[in-house]
Amino acid sequence: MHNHETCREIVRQLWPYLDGALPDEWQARVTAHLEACVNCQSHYDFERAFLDAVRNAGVVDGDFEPLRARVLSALAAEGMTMR
Amino acid sequence: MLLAFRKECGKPMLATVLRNSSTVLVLLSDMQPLPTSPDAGRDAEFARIALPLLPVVARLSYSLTRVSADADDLVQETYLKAFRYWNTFDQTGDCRRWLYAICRNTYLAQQTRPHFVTAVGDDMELETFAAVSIHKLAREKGVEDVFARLDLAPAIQRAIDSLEPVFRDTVTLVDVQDLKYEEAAEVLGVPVGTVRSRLYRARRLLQQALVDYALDAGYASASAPSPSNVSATRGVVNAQS
Repeated sequence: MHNHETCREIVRQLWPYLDGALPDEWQARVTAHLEACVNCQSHYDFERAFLDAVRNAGVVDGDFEPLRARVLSALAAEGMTMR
Repeated sequence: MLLAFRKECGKPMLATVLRNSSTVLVLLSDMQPLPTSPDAGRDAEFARIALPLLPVVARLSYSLTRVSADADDLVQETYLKAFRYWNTFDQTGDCRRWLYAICRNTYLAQQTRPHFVTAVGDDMELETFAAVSIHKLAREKGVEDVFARLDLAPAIQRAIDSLEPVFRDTVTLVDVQDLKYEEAAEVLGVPVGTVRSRLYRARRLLQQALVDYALDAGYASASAPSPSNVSATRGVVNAQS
């Protein structure tokens, strides 16, 4: 059972926790709390899913070879020697 | 390399500040590049260190411009500048960050429209709790699992596009390009605390936009406590019907 203040303290650290930006001691502390607190775990799951969705939406994959060829051509015109 | 540059330009103070890659671009406009006479060693070095990073620079470029043709132009311009100023790159540094800084500053220099900058307080706690409130709203409205359940990519892209540039750039660098706070701060030329403030604000704005989008589109979870959802067995149901 967790009191309200403890949960507030954990929630306050959720973003840096998800970003891996907390000191080790705090990272472990938040992990332990999330394992034991359903409510905070629910907040964590929501934020985690949000960050995953943003990351997946922004990833640009594809064939970069045409662009690479274009850049190499421009660099050659600039004087870069290719070997 | 720094010593060589110091000798070339004869300005020791500049050589010192050039160690900070985010400062480089401020100075580049005031400096003349070294002549690009044939230098096989330099060219091979550039090809070995900078060229393999083209895909990550292209991803950043696309994130900034949102238009494929513009992104390709920006990548080309970034690499041309990097080549011209390769002498100023401290090779003990992180070439990716250096290229990111060139790319973003080139992009900003090309913008003719004014950049509206919303004042951002440093109340990151407020933003964090605002995000939690959005989660509670989403739960009440039956769209709690919308991020995991739906392909929101087009809506997310539009929501990111609609952010003010300072927020869009920050969330793009950290949440899409996976930079750490400190790396993003270096690219953007702002303190780490500013990155955090802008990032948390951007995330909250995106969450709000996406939850609104889900509600407007009539998405609701089958597990929502609304009576209209009780008969739904799976998938997306229209809570407003």
